[in-house]
Amino acid sequence: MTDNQAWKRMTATAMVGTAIQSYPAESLSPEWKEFLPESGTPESAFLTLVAGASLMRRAGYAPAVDQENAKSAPEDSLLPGPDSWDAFLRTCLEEEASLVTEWLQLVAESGRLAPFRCLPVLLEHGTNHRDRRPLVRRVGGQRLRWLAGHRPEWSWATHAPTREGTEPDKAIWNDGQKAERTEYFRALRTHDPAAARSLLAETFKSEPAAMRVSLIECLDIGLDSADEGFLEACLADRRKQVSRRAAQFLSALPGSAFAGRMGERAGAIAGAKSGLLGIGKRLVIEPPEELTPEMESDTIGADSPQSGQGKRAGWLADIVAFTPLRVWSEDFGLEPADAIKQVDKSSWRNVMLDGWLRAAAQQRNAAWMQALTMADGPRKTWLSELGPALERLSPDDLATVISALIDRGQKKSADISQALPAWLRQLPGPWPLGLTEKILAMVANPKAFQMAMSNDWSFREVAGQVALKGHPAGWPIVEQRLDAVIRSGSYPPSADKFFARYQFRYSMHQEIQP
Amino acid sequence: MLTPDAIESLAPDAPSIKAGRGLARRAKWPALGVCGDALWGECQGSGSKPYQTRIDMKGPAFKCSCPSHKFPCKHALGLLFLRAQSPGEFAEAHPPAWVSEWLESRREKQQAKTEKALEKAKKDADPQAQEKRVAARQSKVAAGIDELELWLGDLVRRGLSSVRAESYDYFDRMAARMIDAQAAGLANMVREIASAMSSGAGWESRALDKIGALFLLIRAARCEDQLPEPLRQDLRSLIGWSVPKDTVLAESPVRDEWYVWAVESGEQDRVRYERTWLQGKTTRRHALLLSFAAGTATHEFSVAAGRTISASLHFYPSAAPLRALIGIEGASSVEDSQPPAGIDGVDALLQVAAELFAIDPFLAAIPFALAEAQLVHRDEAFFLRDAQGKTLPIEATGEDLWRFFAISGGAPSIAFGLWTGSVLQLRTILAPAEAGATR
Repeated sequence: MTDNQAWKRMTATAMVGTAIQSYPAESLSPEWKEFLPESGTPESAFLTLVAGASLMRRAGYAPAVDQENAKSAPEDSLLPGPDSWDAFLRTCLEEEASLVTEWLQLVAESGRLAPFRCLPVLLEHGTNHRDRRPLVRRVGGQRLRWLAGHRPEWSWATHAPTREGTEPDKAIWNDGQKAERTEYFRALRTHDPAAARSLLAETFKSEPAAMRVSLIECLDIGLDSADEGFLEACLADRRKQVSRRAAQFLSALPGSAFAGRMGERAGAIAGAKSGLLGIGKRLVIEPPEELTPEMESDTIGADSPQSGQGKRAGWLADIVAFTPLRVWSEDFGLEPADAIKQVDKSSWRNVMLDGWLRAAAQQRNAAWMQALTMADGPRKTWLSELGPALERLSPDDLATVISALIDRGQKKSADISQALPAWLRQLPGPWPLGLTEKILAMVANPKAFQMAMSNDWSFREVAGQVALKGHPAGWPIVEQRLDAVIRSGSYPPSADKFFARYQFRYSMHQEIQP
Repeated sequence: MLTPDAIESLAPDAPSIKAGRGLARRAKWPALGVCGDALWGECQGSGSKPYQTRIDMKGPAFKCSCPSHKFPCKHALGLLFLRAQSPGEFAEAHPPAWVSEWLESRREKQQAKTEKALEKAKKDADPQAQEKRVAARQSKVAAGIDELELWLGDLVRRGLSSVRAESYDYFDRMAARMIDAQAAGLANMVREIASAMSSGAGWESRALDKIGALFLLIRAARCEDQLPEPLRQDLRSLIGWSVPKDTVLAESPVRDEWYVWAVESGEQDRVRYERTWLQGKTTRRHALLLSFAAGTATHEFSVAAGRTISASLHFYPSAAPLRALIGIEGASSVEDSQPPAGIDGVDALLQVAAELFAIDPFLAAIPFALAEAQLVHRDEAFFLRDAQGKTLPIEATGEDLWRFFAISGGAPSIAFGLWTGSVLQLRTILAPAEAGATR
């Protein structure tokens, strides 16, 4: 018997136990027999053999020979960043998902790659967070793709990133689940809008309702006048969610026939009257008396009116919401703030404001949004209600609107504290320096800081948002203005986190640079 | 000068690193200076008086006038980070009194410690009482070993597959019994059998290896007097007899510059441990430093992987000496951090291993550095491959391996690990560029 065979026999005996199967000591070669004790139990004899065989096996290990040539990673043209970046990543991963995105963005902008030691955690992260995958791929380089090829769950990272995201895979469209098909269509819409349009035209009508709802949502990406024909047809869709969404998209298409129809309707319900003594003009609002079939086919009144409102109010809100906002300046000569002022006395004021808000969100109109921010809303919760609508604005426009809100808070000492946290949540970081400074003027207030940080949730929330998303150059401002607080060392735990996080981000921006 | 990584490894916790980084700015330090191994600075803190932070890079040792109970404090870390980032900001200067006094007192304390240690080494404890104690323990251990042998016999009689169905208690009771018998080392080996039995595919062979190793120890203990002296020491320390530090320090020192291959830290039974694997650049000897710290205590000595220290090591008596202590004069950092060249090829490594197992059959694993080693991943398993294609299987130990794989890029480099005779526990693999620097 070879040593290996002997060991296998021993393992087999050990498994069933020497009570059942004794080890065939007689088959051993002479030098083994020498090793056995002269007396003792069979177990002790067997254990002696095991002890000797184990040692011999370990001392006489025969290595396998690998004939294949293992592929090492191809060279990257970019250099990886220093290992110190890894420490920042680890903190980001422990702390907050958005910090990971910030780390990835910084590395991507540095012109270097992620340090190699980071790659397994980045792959793990990308596996669990689809939205970070493009960035992970970008900072991972060739080494990441090579590494990803060794683990099936990392296979998403094995192909090179294309400029506009990944090439969609048509097989998914044909056989995939609803979510996968939607994702495919989303990618196609980004990648090749024309192909997406013809694909939609072919299949849309035969899709189930839930799928139609998902698909029409995707038209938000790169909405264009080429979509008008399709959207017009969708107005007649049996599913209300589809037809309403089509109406919203059409209203945001400049020059669409739908927008024209709505503009005319707006002209019919709102008349400009000369004011008393002929000074200025006044908007006089008169909602439609009845719902015509034409209005109905444009989805007006499709939603049941808000509680406390009549049908006519619902029609009015819809017409205003679907009317291109430029109508108010071009046809009525009213800028947003003036228009809002004009309806101040009207009994339809609140309905108008609600409609305008929907229009401003759909048409991504920052000027209107800003004016609506400054208006006294129909409800106490008005400013907070604006929050979700703000999501539609570009980050730059949003920053401008938030700045205006803060100014309003200061000038009219209105209570913006309820709305500000919700608004800031919509604004991705890092914020522009100007806005950061404006917010820091409120937060980094040596007199109020400690008290507010422990008692005022909205203050704490705003501070938390700044620490997480404020411009990194804001940290030295905090350090300077709150110097006494920091030095005293006695501040509430929430402040501790605020300081630590903001400073951490500042150091990270200092460290990860081109 | 320390790298940021090395500095981070000195920090007591993550917030300290953050705080330290924040202080690594020139503006925070109205006064800065350096002189030889000494580094100091004054940091504007909350009080009117700035904090005085001083560092002795020999060690390194820290002192700061701030009230922080963390050690080293964020000021000391900040000073180190700043030194690493912008060494130019530190002017060579004569140390001010608050620095030189501290250095002087450190030197005095160090000297006193040396003298005391020497004195203690000379002074023997009451030999008679000690002999009695040893004899009492000896008979306790012997009784424990008798019991253990019966238990092992019972185990193989019943068979591994039926014992495996037993609860963990079966092993735990025996381990506890060994602790009672003052044979903590044997208790550990019993637990190792238990964990091998629940270790997944191929557990049978692993468990039998552990059983064999334990039985070897039992048999050897029965004829302890016939063993050559250094091997008898290995046997005794495996059973659980500890060797007094003074005895170790009395061994003749091995002076060398030691490269730090790896530092493993963790916690067991609420005691934090740190295992530092070193290799001498001239002697090529491997050494293992073990450090334990409980509660808020910090490790007496701490150094980051990839650094080199200059020190005299005293090895614990053994047939294949590995565990060591740093001599009383301490260790100092060396600028050069080139790793020692590794062993050339798997065959040469296995040759060394076979010789070591022959000298010390109790060895569980041997440390080694292998040159031109390629980390390969195939069929969901990792192995190490030398330039000739000879391979060693690697024990799967979680995410570390993937990190090593990413760092090496699958290209040949120097790998460091422990070879058990059947599987390799990979501890590190250098980035190929770092390894290339040695050639």
